[in-house]
Amino acid sequence: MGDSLSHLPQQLANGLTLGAVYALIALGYSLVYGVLRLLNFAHGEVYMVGAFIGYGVLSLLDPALAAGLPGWLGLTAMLLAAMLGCGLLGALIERLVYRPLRHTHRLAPLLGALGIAFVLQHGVLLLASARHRAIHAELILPAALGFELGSVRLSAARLLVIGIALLLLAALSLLVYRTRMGRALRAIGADPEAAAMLGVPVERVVSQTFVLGSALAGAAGVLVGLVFTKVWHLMGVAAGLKGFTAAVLGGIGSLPGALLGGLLLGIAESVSTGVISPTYSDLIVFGVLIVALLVRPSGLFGKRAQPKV
Amino acid sequence: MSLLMCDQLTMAFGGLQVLRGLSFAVEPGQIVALIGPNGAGKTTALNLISGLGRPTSGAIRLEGRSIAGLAPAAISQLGVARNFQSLRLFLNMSVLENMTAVGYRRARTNTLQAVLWTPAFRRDAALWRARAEELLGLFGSRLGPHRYDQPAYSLSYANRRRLEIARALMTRPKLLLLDEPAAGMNPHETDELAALIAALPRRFGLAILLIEHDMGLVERVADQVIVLDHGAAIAVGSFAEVTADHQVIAAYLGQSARAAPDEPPEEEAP
Repeated sequence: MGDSLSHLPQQLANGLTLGAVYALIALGYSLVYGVLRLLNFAHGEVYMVGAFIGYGVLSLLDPALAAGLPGWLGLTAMLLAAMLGCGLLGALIERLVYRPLRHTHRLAPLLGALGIAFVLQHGVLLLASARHRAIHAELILPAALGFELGSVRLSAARLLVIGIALLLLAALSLLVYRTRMGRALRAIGADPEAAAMLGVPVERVVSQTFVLGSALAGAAGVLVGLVFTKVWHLMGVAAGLKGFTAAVLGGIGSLPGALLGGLLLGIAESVSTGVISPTYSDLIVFGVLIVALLVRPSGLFGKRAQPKV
Repeated sequence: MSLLMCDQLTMAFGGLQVLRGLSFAVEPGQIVALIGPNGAGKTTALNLISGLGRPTSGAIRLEGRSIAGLAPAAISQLGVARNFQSLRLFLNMSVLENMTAVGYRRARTNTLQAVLWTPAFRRDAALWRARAEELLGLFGSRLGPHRYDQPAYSLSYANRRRLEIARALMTRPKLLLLDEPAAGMNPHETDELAALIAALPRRFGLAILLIEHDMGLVERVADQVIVLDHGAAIAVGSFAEVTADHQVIAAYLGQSARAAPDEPPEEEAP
């Protein structure tokens, strides 16, 4: 035990990386939920597709990188392709599945989401087989690169994940709190009917919300690929569940909540893996969630549910 | 051509007949008041005009074009805006955000330009904000600059009503629907509001269809008054004309409805 405790600072640092990724995924859940009160359970699969797009771009660029293309350009290409691809995928899912189901039974969009999740998993399975694909992150970031503070070591990949995640979070909060689209998005979340009657283009803003959330998931997929150096077609299942958990822990619908929930979950997972046991880490993480929800049923930043008049 | 034309509107919710052949018109620049006892169908009529529901039968025409059953967003785009009797502000957003969130179909720049923060976008945003400030300025210091960044939930009841009117004007409507805009205001505030409402048609080139229980306000602003009872118009004319009508007096004071005309409407606490 004493030996495990000495890993604590390192596990905290690792947890920060994991947490940044969970936060990016959780933001997608929270954005969509905040606007539509819809749980987009295909979100984890969009993240998985993002990881595969990153893998594909890296494979394409492999010769160019070997020939001296700077690594940061390769990374930018991976991120842009994944964010763009996933953004489009998100808009497509919304248009083809959620929009037609929006005013039907409450459970229909949820089942539609599960259906889309299977379609994406098996689509990727068909295209890429069930093999784990290795991401050669060293093509982009020399493995030796990194940063050390006492016994704690953060690799360049981990630092990059945290940095890019923070950058995207900042960009998102600017968009949501400082632009017309963000105001429209919050107005629809508050009262879609009143917003529509006042000329807010609800369908367009909903599409844009899916593009945003899905692009963040795509970025998260690329970043995870760089840290854990492999991608496979079922990687979205656990990550989607953790991202959703982080969103609920923070208070679903709340953007600061998604960030905090993601970081807490990542750190809890990392610390319980390193200090207690990898076998029990999920048990501990979800145990923490249950306790947190018993104490604060609407999450850390969530508002108390108010009865509708 | 009339700006708004309602022809033989009927609306039934299950077995409950709320409107029974309601017909009336609103001319450009006019202020028309719909009055009547509680349950006469006034708000239902307003809801149908703004696209909340489709009439069971009958026609609604805006500048000759049928709008019955169109989506609220489409009707907003054709130039109809409204406030809500029950107040539907975006409570967690600031006063200015409530104003600038709406009606931006008319904006000339898109989200990409917003993200890139282009000069065209900044110009557009500045114009939009200037318009919001101008409209809030209609209420003088009540919604003055010190309130711009306050969240809507912190506003008083009367200020919430004012903000809803200003917000509706952001969409540049041809027809403004006002559902009990003076509810919850004291006599002095109601007076102030009456002066403002009376000035709106000329200033913004719009017509107003108004539901109001405060007869003083109706008398001051309405060019024409339509009295509803049991879902149909029982009198149409100037305020003086309809208040002299014995059918109207019977509707208000008779057995069919006990509500006095100036009784405050039922409202939840702010």
